[in-house]
Amino acid sequence: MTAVTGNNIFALNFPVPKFIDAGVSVDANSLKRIRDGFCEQLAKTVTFSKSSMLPSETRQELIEINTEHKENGWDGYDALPIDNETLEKAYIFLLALPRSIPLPEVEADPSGEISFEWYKSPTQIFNMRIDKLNMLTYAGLFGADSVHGRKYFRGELSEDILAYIKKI
Amino acid sequence: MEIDETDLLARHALEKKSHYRPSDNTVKPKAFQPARDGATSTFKVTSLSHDEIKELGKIHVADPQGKTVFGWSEITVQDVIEVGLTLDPNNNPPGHVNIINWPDTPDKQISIQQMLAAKASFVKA
Repeated sequence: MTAVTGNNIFALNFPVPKFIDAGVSVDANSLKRIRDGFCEQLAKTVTFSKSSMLPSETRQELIEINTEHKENGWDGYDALPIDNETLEKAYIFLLALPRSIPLPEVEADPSGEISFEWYKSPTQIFNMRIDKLNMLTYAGLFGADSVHGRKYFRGELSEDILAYIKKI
Repeated sequence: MEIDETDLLARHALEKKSHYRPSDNTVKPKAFQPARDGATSTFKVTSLSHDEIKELGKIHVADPQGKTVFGWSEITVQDVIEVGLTLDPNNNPPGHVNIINWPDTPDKQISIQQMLAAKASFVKA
């Protein structure tokens, strides 16, 4: 699991190909150096382009969560601390949101999860949380109607959840 | 301690962001999130002044945590009962009321928190 520490929460390591180096000739070594340089550049490019997809406001929210919610009881009651694994899951979740969906407000949740809120008014609201196991817990209030449920996040949001968010 | 449907409850906020939205001064659902013991801690504040409510939160909620009272969400007993929750006016400390009988799944809890937040109002300390 990738470690996410301090303010360096956007330096997530994306996987690069693994190779078996059987060749021992001069040409093989040259190719290996070229390949290693390419993979290093690829990893940097992916990391930069992914993190830059989140607006600075959202990145700042994640940084604040990471720095201000590491202790038990951070809400003055009995809130659980936010760990790095949960923060990473939230980060990946935000990157996976379709561009047609507005980014939510991102906050620490007393449950130790990261919460997302899409808000128009007190009676037009959709709240969602993600935990370190990628479990999404959500509820929406749309006037007199309400919905709620739990689903695993498997890299993209289901159609019904997207429809709920679009209602806001 | 007795309570009736017209009584007013206050849920003190010690954390700037979780309980209310500065943009329109509305209460967030998270303000009413139950603790791990299944209760949301509040105080009966009917007929108390602004300063008395602030002092109540300072003495019993904020000071023990080394924090300050940022404000509080106010909601009537009737609004709490209408969403299917019940109240335990244990008066320990004086004026203390727990909101209990929350559903056992977190998604249902959030749904009820949304309904409470929609009926509550926020008061800055």
